[in-house]
Amino acid sequence: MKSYSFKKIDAFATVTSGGNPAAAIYLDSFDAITDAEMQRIACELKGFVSEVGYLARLALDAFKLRYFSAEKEVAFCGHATIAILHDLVSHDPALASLERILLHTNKGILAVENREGCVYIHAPEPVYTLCRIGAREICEALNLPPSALDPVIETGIVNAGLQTLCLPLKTLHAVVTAKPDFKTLQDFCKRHGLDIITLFTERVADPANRLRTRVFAAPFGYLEDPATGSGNAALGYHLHRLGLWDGSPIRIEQNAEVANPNIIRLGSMPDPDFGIRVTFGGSAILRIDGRYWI
Amino acid sequence: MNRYPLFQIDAFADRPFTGNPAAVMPLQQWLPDELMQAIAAENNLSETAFFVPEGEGFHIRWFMPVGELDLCGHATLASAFVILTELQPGRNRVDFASMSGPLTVTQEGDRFCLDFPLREPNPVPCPPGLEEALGAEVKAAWLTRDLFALLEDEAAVRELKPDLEALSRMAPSSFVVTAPGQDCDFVSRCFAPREGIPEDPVTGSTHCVLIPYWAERLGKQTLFARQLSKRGGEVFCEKRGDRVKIAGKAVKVIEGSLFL
Repeated sequence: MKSYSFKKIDAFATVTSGGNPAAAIYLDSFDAITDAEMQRIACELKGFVSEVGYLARLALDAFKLRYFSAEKEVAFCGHATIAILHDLVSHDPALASLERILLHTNKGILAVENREGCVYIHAPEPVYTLCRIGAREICEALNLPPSALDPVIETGIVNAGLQTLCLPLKTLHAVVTAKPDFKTLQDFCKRHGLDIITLFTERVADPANRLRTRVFAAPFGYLEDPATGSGNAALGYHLHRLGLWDGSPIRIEQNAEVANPNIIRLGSMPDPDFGIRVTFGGSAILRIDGRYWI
Repeated sequence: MNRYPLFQIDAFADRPFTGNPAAVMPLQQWLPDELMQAIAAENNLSETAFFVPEGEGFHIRWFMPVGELDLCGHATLASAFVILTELQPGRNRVDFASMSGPLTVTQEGDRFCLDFPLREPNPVPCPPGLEEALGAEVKAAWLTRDLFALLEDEAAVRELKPDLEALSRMAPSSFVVTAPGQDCDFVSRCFAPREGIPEDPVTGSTHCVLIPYWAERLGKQTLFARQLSKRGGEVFCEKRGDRVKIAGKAVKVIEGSLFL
């Protein structure tokens, strides 16, 4: 039998919210496990976590990280990255003092910023698309009354890794009570080439936060993502393009529970080509610390 | 934050990734019911067992992701495995009090043995539509809490691809198919689509009925059975008067602390 350091970590969770769970297996090296074993463990954990991250150290400030869903190896997973890196900097004093940690993923090398108890990663460069979908069709797809839409802020489509419809709503109530039908939403997304839909409003439950969001991900086989990096990062680019956000650090509250949201943080770096590069991140809560035997 | 021990155990398994997984949480005192329910929902395994010390033994409760259950064999085996190998090694017997009365698990070598009441297989005519839903010829049927269907041979059980949609519209809610085994005494599979379990990996309770049937038919009191689900599992069986012994091995998959 072999055993590995195993953790379950809830990304973007607070003491009162569940966050988005990811599992982590910490390896001495990738020689200690086969690809088939990594896939098998991810398959066993189906329904418990959506992704398992396998991590091995390459240098003082560099790690290799691979991600497996129950179905296959995936190139990158934002919430698992936030969960695992937050756990690393929280439990390793040598890492806690580093401002930047390098991650070698199948998608390339990326830098993780570590500051004030949170970890951040850079969202991909944005691609903007004009939204030509009618308000009526959007409302039908999301099961929203037409009066829920915010007529002042523009609806937009931004790709910052995922093709994201950013839809402004007028009230907090409209965002938290939205109840779309899975199949209807899946068809809608397919028809318009969308990956995810971010509902947002500036009417927040906690004034410390700038926005309330909910993110629907029907094309991925489940209705809602309770705490997501990419959906909020795309929204950051959208608001920046509209002149509604200058790129300074903000907190976003996400999920359908008014008083117990998950917290995602956005920031930015100047970028000569795109104005800014959005960074997204947050903290995480260690839920299970143990070992996994195979 | 509070720290609670948490295990995940494959029951009726002799190696990882087989058998029926259960989460096991040894407690010193009960947590609020809503919290145990929330933990079971988060674990999202078919059952999470919780137990607290009581007298010389323990009081055990079982939670599915959607509610509490009155009796669960594999999570009891998993709990006994945790007690006898991790918490109190050196003992070879554990007594549980439960909603379904006292339950005893004994350790015999690397096997953990549940002592359950025997349930007589009551023959019934094959229900209309069952052969079509199973896609197989039914040689005999009997009914207890579950409906049991005797099939021609092991291949028929192994290759069965039942119409789960059709089964979920029939009564009762759980269907078991069985046949003589090739390298074991008998084989079975268990489907309960209406309860949200398309196929149960390994089922202790169905053997309360299977054991008396096969003991009588094969003229032996000690039997070795396989459940031919995708994960597969081994069940060591014995008929003893009006009781059955259902034994299996178990494998530790996760040992850790849950922080709440």
